[in-house]
Amino acid sequence: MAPEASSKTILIVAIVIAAIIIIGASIYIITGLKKPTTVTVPTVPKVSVTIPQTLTKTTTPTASPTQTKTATATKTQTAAAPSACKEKITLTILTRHPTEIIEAARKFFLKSKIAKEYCITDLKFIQLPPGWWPEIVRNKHIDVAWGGGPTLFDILFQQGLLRPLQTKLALEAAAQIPNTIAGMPLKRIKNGKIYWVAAAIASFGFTINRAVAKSLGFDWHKLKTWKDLASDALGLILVKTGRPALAIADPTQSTSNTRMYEIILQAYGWENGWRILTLMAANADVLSGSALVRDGVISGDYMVGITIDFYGYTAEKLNPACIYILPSGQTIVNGDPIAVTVSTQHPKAAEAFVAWVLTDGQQIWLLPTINRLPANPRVFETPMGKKRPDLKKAYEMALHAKSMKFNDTLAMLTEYAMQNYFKATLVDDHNLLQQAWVKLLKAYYIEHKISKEKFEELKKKLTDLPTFKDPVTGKMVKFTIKYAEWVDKLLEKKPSLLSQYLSVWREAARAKYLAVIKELGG
Amino acid sequence: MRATLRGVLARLRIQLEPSILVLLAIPLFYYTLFFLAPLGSILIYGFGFDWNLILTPHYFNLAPIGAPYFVSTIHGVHILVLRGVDLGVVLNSLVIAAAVTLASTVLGVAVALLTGLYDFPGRRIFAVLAFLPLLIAPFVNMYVIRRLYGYGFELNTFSWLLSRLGIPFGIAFDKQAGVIFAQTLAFYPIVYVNVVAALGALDATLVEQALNLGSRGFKLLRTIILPLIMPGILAGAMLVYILSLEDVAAPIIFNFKNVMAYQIYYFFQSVAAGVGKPYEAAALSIILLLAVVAPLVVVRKYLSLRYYARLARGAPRPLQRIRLGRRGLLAAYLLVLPIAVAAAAPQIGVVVLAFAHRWTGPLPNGVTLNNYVQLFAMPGAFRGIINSVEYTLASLPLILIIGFATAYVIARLHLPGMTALDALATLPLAIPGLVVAFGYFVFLHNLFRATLLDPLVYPGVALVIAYAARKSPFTVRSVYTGVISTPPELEEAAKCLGSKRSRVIRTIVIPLVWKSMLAGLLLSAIYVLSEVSVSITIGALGGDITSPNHAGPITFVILRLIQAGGVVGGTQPQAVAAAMATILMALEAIVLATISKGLLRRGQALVSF
Repeated sequence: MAPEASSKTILIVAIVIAAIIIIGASIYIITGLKKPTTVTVPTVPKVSVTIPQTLTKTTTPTASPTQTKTATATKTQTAAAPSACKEKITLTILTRHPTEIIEAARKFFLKSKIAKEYCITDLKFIQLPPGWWPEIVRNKHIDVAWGGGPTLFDILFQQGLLRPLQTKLALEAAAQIPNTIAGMPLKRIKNGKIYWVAAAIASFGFTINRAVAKSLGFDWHKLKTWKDLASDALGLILVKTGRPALAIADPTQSTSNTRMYEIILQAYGWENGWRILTLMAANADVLSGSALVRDGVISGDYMVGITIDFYGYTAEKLNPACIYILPSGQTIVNGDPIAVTVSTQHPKAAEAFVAWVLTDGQQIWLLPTINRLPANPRVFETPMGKKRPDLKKAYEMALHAKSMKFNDTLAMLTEYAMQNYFKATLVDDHNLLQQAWVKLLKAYYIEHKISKEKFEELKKKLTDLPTFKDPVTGKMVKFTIKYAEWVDKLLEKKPSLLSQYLSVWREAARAKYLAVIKELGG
Repeated sequence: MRATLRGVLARLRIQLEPSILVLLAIPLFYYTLFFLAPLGSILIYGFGFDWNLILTPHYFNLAPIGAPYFVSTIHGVHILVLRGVDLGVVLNSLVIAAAVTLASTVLGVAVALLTGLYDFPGRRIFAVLAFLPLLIAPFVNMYVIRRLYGYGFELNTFSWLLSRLGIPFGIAFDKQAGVIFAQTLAFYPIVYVNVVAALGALDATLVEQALNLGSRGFKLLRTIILPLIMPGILAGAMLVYILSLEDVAAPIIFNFKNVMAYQIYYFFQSVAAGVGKPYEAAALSIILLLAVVAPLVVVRKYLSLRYYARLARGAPRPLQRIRLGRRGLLAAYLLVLPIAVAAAAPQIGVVVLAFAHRWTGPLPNGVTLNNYVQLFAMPGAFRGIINSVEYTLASLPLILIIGFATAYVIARLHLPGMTALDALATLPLAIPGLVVAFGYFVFLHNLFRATLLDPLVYPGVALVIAYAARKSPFTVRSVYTGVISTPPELEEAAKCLGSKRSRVIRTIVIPLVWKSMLAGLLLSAIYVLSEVSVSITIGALGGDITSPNHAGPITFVILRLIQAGGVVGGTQPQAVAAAMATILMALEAIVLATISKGLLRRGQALVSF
């Protein structure tokens, strides 16, 4: 019988694979035991040794009087710290950071002096979609929340889930971070209490794979601003190849992409912003996460993708064909916060970790696999910081970039509604939107069926904010900024209404796309 | 009449001893609390959904969107791109499942008949090729399928090979067509093994009589063999249909998200997860359940324990293979072999990718062991292996108890309603994993909030419970077969001599069926290891693989490496995922080989896959 043969073959295959795995494991053990750091951070093998001392050294001379005090305070603590810990502490950290950052943080922090002083023997990271954060902080002991953008942290703050910094160590560390950068807050302060502090900063732009651009015969220099991602030229690649050149992410699954859409909505104004978002989506594949966008551009599956700056810099390192573009005058600098949560079981240790991240820990941003911009500029004065003039330049650029005025509060007031309206009209109806857009481009550029005026008219129609009947009030409305604010509040109060709103938005957009298709005779 | 009634009562009295009541209570309790109740709690949320919305085009779209196919030119090669259309979330799922089931059935039956019925040079190659995709490498195989047959700015491997041979034409699968194609390649072997097992249970005399009477070729197939193996075909087709409906891997990799399974999975991943109540996911789970139940009622018999046991016994006299004629040989090599090779290629590709430096264009480049080095260096990845082992070990005692109790009770207790228990015991096989996962989440999180059973607090506990419920049928089936093939007279004799039932079980039954128990446990173990749906949803609640203490098993690690693996040490995340997948495949292969070597009839071992 057939299975006889297969079971024998499979046994052989299994043995071969098992043998290879064992060899792999032994190679790892042999090489790994000798040089533990070379595996994940091949280019900076000795980082771990230098980290604990360097930053403290460089910061002490420049430190203000209060900081000198802390230095002594730390010293006394060191002296007082019992050599044998009574209790070994494992900190639980809720995070949105990717693997590279977490692994580096864990490795370097556990070797640090602070970790030993506070008897922190392990860090446990929980990485969950932002939607779960409030729920999990309430139901489980979480010590620190780290990374995920300011809006996520403001949600936690508003729900009373963040614990203000209290220890001297943490407050002094926080004092090293400027209160604002390029007009954006790097701390959330209420009644003199600090609830979150930015541990890193980030700007937003897009990453281009120049090799793909070349093979497509597309001049990538044409992509300078967000608007260029909504261009006909990008759409024509889709028409010719049947495949989008642009990758973006679903805002309901990516906080960084949400922020970029908010930037676009403020840079171009609400209504024009939605036109650009609509055409960007029409030109793009909408993926389910920002890391997928980055990987898609690196691997050449897409020519361009919208990314947070450090994804762009990482892409440049991994594939030299990639280049990160900062849209001039249309980006903002965001602080990426860290905070202690109310459900912490080890508040002192948690604050010690926060303090480390804001000082010595800043060096992990400079690792070649991470490439993030630190929130504490003093890290550039360390030996390791001096090795990254490129990041320093990027930092200066971000600092002085023609960044736009961004209204943080306004973005927050409409965020949930915006994400879902985007999902309903541009993600759920994506296939129809793309079909209408391709038809429109074809009719004008390829078949020359319609005039320039008609083309513009239909393009306007395709990108208009459609009218729909509000399922609660029954009124005919448009998704204006005011309405978005109102519906955002409503959905927060009554989450069960979401599926109804999603549905009316989807149907309104669908009708609009179908109308354009119909006018083009399809 | 009175006599029969008295007979029934007497039988009841004899049968209902305390020990058997305990055995009966175990499956009833477990399946009710940890299977039916979670499913039921979905219904409660389903009521919160505005069901009028389900008729909107988002779910049912009768005006197909998009071009089903088009021709594109890449580097001078004309590519026929099959893309499919968007018919809305519900219809897409049904259309994909129907297409995959049909294609898999045709392909699976063809290969099974060819290798099971006929003898020809190279037959074993076919058997091995058809078997390979059964070594499940979740997500990574889909990634490889996209590289081999997908559509991008670069040629796929298949079209590139053709162009190298001087053929300027190629083919590529995208979006919906990509999902259908990928699932067919991955799932057709399930039909294949079911049909092979059915052929093994085929009585040779029937075929020989037909042959003697002059029936040949298609007529023989159509009139004699196909009707006899129809149960095997139906059982295999049904499993493929369920697997297609619940699959999220292909929709993720081919970025075709308007399908039910993905939309349910999305609930666990979205920004709104904690904010929005899971009404839509609940509604889709209910529809998914209905979509499975309808055909299930039809083929229920062939998924039951009794049918399985019949297959396991095999034929009284197995079939002698028929020599394949020249025309048949030609068809086999020109038609079936290329398809079987194409379908096995992804599995081979996974192994290749595991040792490749990078594979983003048509061909992988560079040979390296670095992916394994990275894998072992990444504490989170290693944690996944440990978690998988722990969960498997923790769920096996549960599975053993439930499996033995259920199987023994169904085999030995002749009471009305035993068919219902039989159905209940096999039902976990038929309920889409995502529905189960979603049910567990709402049930456990709401009823046991912030306790040991809350999946948000201790995902591992919920996983073990879910694994035990979902994967116990394999043990039930195996033990049941073992129990009914031991003569009940042995137990009766012991009882006549004064042994209590518990002693009979301990001293007579278990020593006789331990082999079946072990085989069943091993099968269950392999399914726990390769379980996807619950692992990637509830398993995700303990944190991402970035954490060395996360709660996810191997399959979850593979998914996260594929989705957002990061770029540790300059390796390609998908390649590291492939390395992880090869470990899983090796484990699967070892267990399967062990089982079919010594513990079970081969056909029986296979049919469970």
